[in-house]
Amino acid sequence: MSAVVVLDIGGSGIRAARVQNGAIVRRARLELSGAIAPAQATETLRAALGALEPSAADGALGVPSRVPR
Amino acid sequence: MVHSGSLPGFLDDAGRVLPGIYIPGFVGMDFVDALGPLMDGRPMSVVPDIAAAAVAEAAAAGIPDRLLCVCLGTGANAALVADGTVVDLAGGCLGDAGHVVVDPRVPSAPAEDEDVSRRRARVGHWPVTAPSSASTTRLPSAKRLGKRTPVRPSWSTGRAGHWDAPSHRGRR
Repeated sequence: MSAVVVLDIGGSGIRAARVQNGAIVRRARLELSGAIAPAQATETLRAALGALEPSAADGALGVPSRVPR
Repeated sequence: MVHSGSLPGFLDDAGRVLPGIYIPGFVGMDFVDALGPLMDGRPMSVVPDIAAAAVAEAAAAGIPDRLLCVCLGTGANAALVADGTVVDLAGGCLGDAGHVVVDPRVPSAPAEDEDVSRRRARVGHWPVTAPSSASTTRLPSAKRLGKRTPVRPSWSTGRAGHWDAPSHRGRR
């Protein structure tokens, strides 16, 4: 089973997704209320990764934000 | 399993986040070192967000010969895919065509350091591979877990247009 975990880090938050067999099966968004301190950076990333832990609720979610071509 | 991350900024040759205005808390962080213990030794790629978007759009479009990926967010930015590669116009920025701040509330970028200026004078290309298997799609890695040498293409030297924009062009 192929799987990819993707984190998109931005100034206001982190978007995370788990892709399995070509489909997004889990999404998560971690909002940041302000600039995080360097000491919090690693824990913040770990929290985003932790939100992607596989669960029974995972399922193909598609890519709804994609503009049709 | 491959893990990947994108961020609104530059990476240095060692894969550490260079100074920028959007994620100041991450400046100097080595993502692979920070997250490696959670990856069980599996490969990890970290790239600027505009490069990640260009790779994804090129893959979704079937790797065309020419593709201009334009992203609108806090800023507006673009990256060019040509001949199956993301054209790297500015060192770790991996294909940024420039950056325009569209939100006037965003503070000015800090002064650019010498390292960033030097990197902007280099030109290279990143490969884009087909999306047939997520596990084999090769992102233009700044660094892969277990290898201290950044995964980079062969660089050619030269001037690539003008590089007067501030050092946060990685923001889309």
